[in-house]
Amino acid sequence: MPGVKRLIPIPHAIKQGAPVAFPGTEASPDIDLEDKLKEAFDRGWAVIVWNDPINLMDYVVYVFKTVLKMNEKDASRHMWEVHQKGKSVVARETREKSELIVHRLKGFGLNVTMESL
Amino acid sequence: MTCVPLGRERWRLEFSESESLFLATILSQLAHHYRQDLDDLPEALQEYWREPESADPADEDKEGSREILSEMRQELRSERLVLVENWLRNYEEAGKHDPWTVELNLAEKDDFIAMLNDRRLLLARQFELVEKDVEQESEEKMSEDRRVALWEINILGHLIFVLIGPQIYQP
Repeated sequence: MPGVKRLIPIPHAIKQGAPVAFPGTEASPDIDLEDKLKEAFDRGWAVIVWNDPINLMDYVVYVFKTVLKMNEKDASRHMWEVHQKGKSVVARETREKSELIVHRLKGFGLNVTMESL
Repeated sequence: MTCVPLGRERWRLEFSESESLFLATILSQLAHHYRQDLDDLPEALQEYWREPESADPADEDKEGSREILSEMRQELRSERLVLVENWLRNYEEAGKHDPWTVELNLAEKDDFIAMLNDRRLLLARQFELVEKDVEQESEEKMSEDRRVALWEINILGHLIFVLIGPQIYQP
């Protein structure tokens, strides 16, 4: 499109109309490509976990693994980021999914907010 | 207290008599807390359950999310009350508490852990315990009730660690 700087290059396969499997997902004929693209671009909400003095480090790692399905390495990395920098962005999702994640993390007692990007 | 895996996503918890009594006391206090009307709680405890006011109430998206999260948070108090009452009923029905054994699936274990952590966080808010208190730098200067609250926080932290221990460092 002339005059418009595209922030994210469109993969060649999408240009050609070929089925696309996003990383970590399986291509399904039931899910429309347009919906997948919309969801990818709607992930404009960040879930932020803030430091607090009461929650135990191991507990925070456990919660990240349980709620966010992180592996141990990522869960530990985010926990240390919270501890040392005061906060960590643990997810970027659609508004609805972010609300659900915030609710679940708060249910475990973590100090969490969500921000539009 | 011990937490023994029984198989895929099932555990048996075993409490000695004194641990059972301690836990039953904590659960009773939690039940009382969950039962209370939010407006009747001290402000510091209300804040634990309320969503903070939006910095920009005119932002409809943020305000909408805040309302949804507030509603879900209130529902969680009711759900936790049911859970804690089930625990107390189990305690009463068990009769024998040396040991008191309870079998849990993964979801039940996570709910139990989260309830124990509620108690830790609520105590910290109630007694305004901050990082230096938790790190025991100032315990000697603490009042008796704050010191007892800190002990309870630490004991509950130990119970939580026993509960999550077998799972935390598994892929």
